[in-house]
Amino acid sequence: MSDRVAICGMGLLGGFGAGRNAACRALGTGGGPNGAVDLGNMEGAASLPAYIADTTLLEQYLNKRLLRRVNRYSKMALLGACLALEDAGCGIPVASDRVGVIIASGYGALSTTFEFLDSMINDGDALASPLLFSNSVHSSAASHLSILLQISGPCLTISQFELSGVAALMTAYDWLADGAADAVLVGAVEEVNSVMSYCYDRFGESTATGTMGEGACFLLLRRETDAVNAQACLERVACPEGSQLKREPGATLVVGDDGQPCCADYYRSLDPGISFASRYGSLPSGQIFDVAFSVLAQQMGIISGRVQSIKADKEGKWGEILIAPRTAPARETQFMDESHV
Amino acid sequence: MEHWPRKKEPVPVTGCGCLCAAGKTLSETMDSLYAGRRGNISFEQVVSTHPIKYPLFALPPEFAPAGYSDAPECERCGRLAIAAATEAVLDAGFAPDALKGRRVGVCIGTTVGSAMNNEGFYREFRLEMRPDVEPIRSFLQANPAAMVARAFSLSGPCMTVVNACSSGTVAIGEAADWIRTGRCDLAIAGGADMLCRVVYNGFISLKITDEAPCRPFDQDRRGLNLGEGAGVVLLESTASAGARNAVPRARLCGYGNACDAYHPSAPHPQAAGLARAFDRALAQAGIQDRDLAFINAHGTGTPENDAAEGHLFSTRFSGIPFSSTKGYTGHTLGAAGGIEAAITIACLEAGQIPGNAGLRTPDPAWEAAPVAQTTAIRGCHAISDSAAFGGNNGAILFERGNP
Amino acid sequence: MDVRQKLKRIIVEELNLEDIHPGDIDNNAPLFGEGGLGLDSLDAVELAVLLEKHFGVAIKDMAKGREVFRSIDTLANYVEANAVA
Repeated sequence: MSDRVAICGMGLLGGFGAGRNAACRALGTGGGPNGAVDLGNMEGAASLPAYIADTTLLEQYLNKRLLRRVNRYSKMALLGACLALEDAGCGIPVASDRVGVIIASGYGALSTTFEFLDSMINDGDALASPLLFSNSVHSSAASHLSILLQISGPCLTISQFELSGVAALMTAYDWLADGAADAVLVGAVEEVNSVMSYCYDRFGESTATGTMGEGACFLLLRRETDAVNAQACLERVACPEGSQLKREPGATLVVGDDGQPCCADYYRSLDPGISFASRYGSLPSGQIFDVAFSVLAQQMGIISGRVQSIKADKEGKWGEILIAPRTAPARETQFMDESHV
Repeated sequence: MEHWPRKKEPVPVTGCGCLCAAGKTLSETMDSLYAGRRGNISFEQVVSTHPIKYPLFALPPEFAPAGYSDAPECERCGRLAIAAATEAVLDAGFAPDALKGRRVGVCIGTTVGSAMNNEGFYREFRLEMRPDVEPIRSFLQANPAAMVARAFSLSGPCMTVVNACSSGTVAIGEAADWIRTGRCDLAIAGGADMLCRVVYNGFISLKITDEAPCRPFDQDRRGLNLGEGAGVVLLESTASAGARNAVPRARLCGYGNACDAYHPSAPHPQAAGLARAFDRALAQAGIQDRDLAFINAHGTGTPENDAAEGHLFSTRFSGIPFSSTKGYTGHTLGAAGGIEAAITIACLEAGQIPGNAGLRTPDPAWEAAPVAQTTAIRGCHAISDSAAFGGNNGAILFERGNP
Repeated sequence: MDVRQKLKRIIVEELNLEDIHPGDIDNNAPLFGEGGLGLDSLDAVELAVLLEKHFGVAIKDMAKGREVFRSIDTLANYVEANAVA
């Protein structure tokens, strides 16, 4: 597999805001939670800090009427996808059957999953809401993406907790290498809600946990040979066997250490690496965020050379992504924000 | 585009396993299918206050793997997957512990197995009862692909596909690419799903469930019946199978995955995405439409699904025998593609396909009709297709092991 | 509240037609497909649940319900004829 895959566009949103400039700012400041999620009714005013995403920008890309049946989970995905397409200079809608979609999500459409249970519990089994049901399935975001952006190539949703991100990128890599698609929109999507906040609180009683995060991070990938405006290249995407990390000479190590105690020992056993999780919070599919932040850091000159991104799961498996910076400088001016000057 | 369509190297299938309401193993399932015997139908498997009790293709207790009924609910999909995988691994001539140390991947499709919808926990949460978080802890341990990998001590790629009803088919197609690209030498691939009252209520709310046992492709069809189970194939590289003189039961020659980009819950009426999935699978296999010995249809029994497929089979695959096996197994959602892959392979070996259970009057809206009785087939290639919520379609194409 | 007005409010609010004012919906205009409100099959099953929830009126067979779902008027007539007092 000598073909490299080019990242041609990135669209990310989360506690840091939405879009490239917001993410670059967070890289500079170090980030932090921007909101809080209550623990349900039971704890009075109690809440936990969280990284909360805002999807209002989506209405700039898609008309409100089209979004009337789209929940927060899918709105985050759609905004991430639209930002990535725009970043790559692609039109919206895409209208192609040579473009594929892959979504990685550890938890899926959490709010709607529980809203559907609410509709059953409040109104009785016979009055459960079909609209909520159809939007509660993990694949609903990919469906809305394909319908609203007119993408009719291959489509996949993966749920593999911490390895969701690497599995998605691995699949995209293979689709491009063997021509199943000419471009693939790959994205991580996670949502937080009160149930999760409650679980974090309870899990946190025994061990320190990370700070929950939500948002979406999409990459528009193409074969390097087809890409006119590559921002970076994925040289390797793999789930290596065994626990021994082979360090890539000269590459900066980026670890997906988002504060989850189950993987902390693994990360501690490695050489010290950079973690970007303080920008986006703790989220299982966070490795795709790590890729995007790594590319931004390469572009801003914070990291020089290649990045070796590692994300481990609680069973000691891990995913590895090797990211090479773009070779031709082309975009220096584009990620400076007026408000930043 | 020079990259596509192009023929791909076939991937040997050296073992199959399946359990569902129609059988505890693949061979038991095939006995039921060829005898025209529907699987075990229960009206009581799921508790619901809905005034109508809908038929469910439930696993009889004696089919369930050991410890199944005592396991936390969220683990059951994984346990079904492990049971089908064990059958496939043994079928391939491996001892259950013989995969350890080999390069083996796991790719499992599911719906319920990845949903954090523990109702008991959530009811207590709503009532401000500070529920124990143990069910959530269990859920975090119960990812179906990870459970299979744990059970067989595997360290290769591991992926749970949640493409709704096409998950099993897509999981097998993706795993075949892992073998071709050398990401692993073997892959346990398929789907697993269990009956659950949340999903039961959801499908009733969509008004696509039949009060009677389902009747795919019949003019009087009223919807689907849910089912449960798992189906798995063991994919193996040609080199690995050759090195141990394993005789493939079949070869996976093609896989297509394509979206309708049409509607969140209804299929494209002319099956636009499904047709593209067929195109891709056929192109990878390097064969023509007419070379297909048969099609294992998705055929859920809902008016819309069967109309879309009926249109495709009439206009494009006229004369190719097809049938749906959902009338025997129910619609097992994420497991369906896995179960039907195993059935498709068994049919290629036996040279016959089962009659489409529940068919009385073929829908006159389209020309093609499924076979009503067990029917001999000619040829050595067949497609099993799946269509899902949101217009995701998958098709996998198998060739008989000894053509 | 008048059944027709209540139906319009429910449709706008529960099917998230934020850009439409309930008062602007014509009693006779088609609810589904082009040229009307543009509702579709997924809205139809949601609407069936809403009718049962708000009026106690069940639509068992969606195929036969098609005529009932034609317009606000046909819906209101059906509700008035079948509502349990």
